[in-house]
Amino acid sequence: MSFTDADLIARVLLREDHNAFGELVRRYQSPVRGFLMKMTNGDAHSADDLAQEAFVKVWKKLGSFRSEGKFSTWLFGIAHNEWRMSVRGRKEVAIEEVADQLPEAEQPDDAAASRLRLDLAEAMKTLTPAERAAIVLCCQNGLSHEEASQAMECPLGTVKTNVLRGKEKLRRCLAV
Amino acid sequence: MKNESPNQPENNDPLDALLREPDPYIPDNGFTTRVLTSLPVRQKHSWRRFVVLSAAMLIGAVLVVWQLPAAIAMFSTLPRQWSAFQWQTLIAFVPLLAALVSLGWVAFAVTNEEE
Repeated sequence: MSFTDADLIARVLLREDHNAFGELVRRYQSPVRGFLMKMTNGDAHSADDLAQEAFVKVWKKLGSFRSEGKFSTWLFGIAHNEWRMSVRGRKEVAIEEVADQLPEAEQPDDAAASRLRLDLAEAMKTLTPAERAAIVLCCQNGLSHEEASQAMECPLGTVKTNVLRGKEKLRRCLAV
Repeated sequence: MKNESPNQPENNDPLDALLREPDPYIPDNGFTTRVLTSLPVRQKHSWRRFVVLSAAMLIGAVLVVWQLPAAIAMFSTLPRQWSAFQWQTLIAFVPLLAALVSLGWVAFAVTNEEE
């Protein structure tokens, strides 16, 4: 018998059911770790640490989850916030300005070579963190723009802009 | 018709198709177990917390009421007795200080209960 997210959340809140919470973690560990892996530019160790912190935070704050929204949106929001907190200390956000210029800086000859060696994962690294998060959440995890704006705690228009700009950069990098 | 919502896949767009390819499933490999073993104890019985905090506040309030007249009297005579200051004078303030600290702690705990 398969329980819905709402069933599992109710069990956790009412009975402090570790098995139910374990089922929620098993259900979402792959997308959350995958999302954080992309946000950390492929650093699996950091991504797993952040994912673990995110799930612990979910456990602590589950009582404040509003059931009218999707659990996955709320979860991705917490994961995104964990990543943001982690880079705040390391000032990785400063990379945004540099990364923003990478595709434009390539020469036509280099672009041809890049086409051969850049796969999607590499191309994603040329995006700003905000563009990367928007692309991963909206295009790869199926969140709507509204849900992504909730998860990223930024205006809807910013998410749409980041998706469009991110796709444009990816098109240039991948030449598709 | 023009696509109004940019997060909808565009027809025949190879980038959209590439992005929407499902990511390979990341095997659990003990991740869930690590999460479950690192979970803190949830504050389930908030009424216990309420009773403990209320008791602490009550004790603090009683101590303040009990010690306040003595403290006021001591403060009023302090300038005259300053030359004859003794550590015992300071020790007399300890219960008052403890009461004030307990009140402060209760206020802090109550305001941060949601956290």
